[in-house]
Amino acid sequence: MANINFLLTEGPFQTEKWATAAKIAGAALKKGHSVSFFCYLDGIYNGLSTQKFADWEKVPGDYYKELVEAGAKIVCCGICVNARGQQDGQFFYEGIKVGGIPDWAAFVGEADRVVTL
Amino acid sequence: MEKKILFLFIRAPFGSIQYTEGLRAVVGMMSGLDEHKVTCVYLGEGAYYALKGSDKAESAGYVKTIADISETDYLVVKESLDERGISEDELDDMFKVVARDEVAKLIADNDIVFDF
Amino acid sequence: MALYLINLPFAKEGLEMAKRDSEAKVVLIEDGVYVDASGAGEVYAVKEDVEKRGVGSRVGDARIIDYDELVDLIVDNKVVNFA
Repeated sequence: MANINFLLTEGPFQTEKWATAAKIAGAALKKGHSVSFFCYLDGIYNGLSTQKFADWEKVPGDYYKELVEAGAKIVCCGICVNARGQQDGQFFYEGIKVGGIPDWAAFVGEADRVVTL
Repeated sequence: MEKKILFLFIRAPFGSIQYTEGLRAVVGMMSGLDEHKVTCVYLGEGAYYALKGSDKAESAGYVKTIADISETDYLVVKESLDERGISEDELDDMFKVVARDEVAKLIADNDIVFDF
Repeated sequence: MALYLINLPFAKEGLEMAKRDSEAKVVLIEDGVYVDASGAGEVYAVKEDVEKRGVGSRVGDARIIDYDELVDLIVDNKVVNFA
C-alpha cells in the first residue's frame, strides 16, 4: 500500500481542482492507500463547514469531511488560514487541522507519491 | 526520510502569489526535520522572474533564508528564454541557464516534482 | 518511469519534458484533455473529464481511465506535476 500526499493550492468552486483531488483521494482510500492533504493558499477554504450553495446537493466541504472520515489526514497552512480571516480554522470540519509547512514537509517525507492540484 | 525535491516555477510572477509562496514552501521543505534537498527551476512563463529588472523585494527574504540553510540552485530554462526573446545578459546573477534536456535529467534524479 | 500529470495551462512545458523521457506516461486531466499529447509517450485521459467535455472522439490514441486506474498509475510511477 502506498502513501499519497496531495498539495491543494486552489479553493472550492472557482476551479475543479478540489473535485479532482477529492476524487483521486477517495479512490486511493478505497483501495487501502494512505492519504494526506496539505491545503495551502486558497486551498484552505476547501474544508469549511459553513459553505452554502443551493445549486449543489453536496458542497466541496462535504467531500473533504468524508475524506477525513475515511481516514485522510488534512492539514491547512496556518499562515494562509489567518491571512484569509479564518483564524484557528474555527469553521473547519472536525478533523481538518491547522498546522504549518513543517507538517507538510513531514507528509512529503513519509509520502511515496505527491500530487499537486 | 530526506527527499530530493524539484520545484518547477511555471506561472508568470506577480499575476499570482504562487511564485513567492513557492519559495516559502522551499524554505519549509529545507528546514523541516527531514531537511529535504531542493532545486528550483524557472520555466515557461516562470522564466520572466529571472529578469534582472523583475522586483524581487517580496521574495528576497526567502531567497536569503534559503541561502542561509544550504546552497541552492536557481535554474532558468534556455528554451523558455529563447521563446520569449530574453537574452542571458538580461538575467539576474542568481540564475544559471540550463537546457530542457538538463531539466529532464533533474526530473529523473529527484524524488518529488512540484509545480508552482 | 514517470507519470506526467498534465492540465492545459502547463501542457506545453509538461509535454516537452515527457518527450525527453523514453518511459513517459502522460495523464491528461481536467482541461488537459483538450491537448494533443501524441508523441509524448503512453497517453491516458481521465474518463470523467473527457466525457463532460464531449471530446471522446478527439483524444486520439489516449487510453481512457477512471479514477481507480489513475490511482494505480500514481502508485506505480513517480508523479511529475504539471497540473
